[in-house]
Amino acid sequence: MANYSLKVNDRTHSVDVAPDTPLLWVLRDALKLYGTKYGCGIGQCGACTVHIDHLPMRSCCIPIESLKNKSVITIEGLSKKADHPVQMAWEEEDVPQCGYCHSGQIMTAAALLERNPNPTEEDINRAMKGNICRCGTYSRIRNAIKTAVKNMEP
Amino acid sequence: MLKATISKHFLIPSSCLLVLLSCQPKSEKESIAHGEEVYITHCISCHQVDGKGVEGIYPSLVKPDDITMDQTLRAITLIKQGSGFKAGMKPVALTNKEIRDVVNYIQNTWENEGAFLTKAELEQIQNQ
Repeated sequence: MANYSLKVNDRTHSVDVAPDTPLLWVLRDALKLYGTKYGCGIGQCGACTVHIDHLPMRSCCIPIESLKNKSVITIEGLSKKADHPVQMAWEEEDVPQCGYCHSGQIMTAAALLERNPNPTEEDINRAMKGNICRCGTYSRIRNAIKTAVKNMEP
Repeated sequence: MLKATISKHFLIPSSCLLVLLSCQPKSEKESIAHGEEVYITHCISCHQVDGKGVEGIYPSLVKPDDITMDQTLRAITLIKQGSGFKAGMKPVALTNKEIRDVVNYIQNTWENEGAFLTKAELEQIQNQ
């Protein structure tokens, strides 16, 4: 075990875990942030997506030892009142079915719009391809991203 | 009349040449830009923003020397088939275009310098 200082949702936390502990388990077990979900554990499904320095990453395969001086944002920290344009669009379009994958979907979509505020259909498909939804809500996810784009227009 | 004909004949090949000269770098730039997005979606969690991976866990994609065709072939095989090890890299479900774009991005980013992988070359590799 070792002690690590980790910045999550703009707060610095101190955790005592093994160096190879995946960020996902630090978030869920040590910090009790349960919004980030465990899906496959091998970085293939996207359910555990968080932002690390503004980029969407799979927290299940990132060891805590690689996160020195990095800033992590989870679904809990995406906005103060769950009012991020992507979250609002998700509600507007009634996107989730079972909802399990949707914190990961929202984090990936939010990171896409931060890099590219006006994505094409191809850009959306490319960015969202790594996030799997067993309920098959893909068309609603695409619609919600387009709605978020409109909501973000000045 | 003659002057107009000469101009016309001169202008057409010239414009074609210009199109040819400007097309290739644009397609390369586009491929690398699309490849960056593929990298962010599928590769960045393990191989990291700087391509250096995590020591002892995820290998670095940054190569000190020019990238060889063998290394390109290895990258394509890893993407399509995974490493074959239980805890190693799993196959990544990418289209041929996505494979080409991400290989071009990896081979031409950070300190990497590699040849541009074309559609024909990728098809030839896959048919071997």
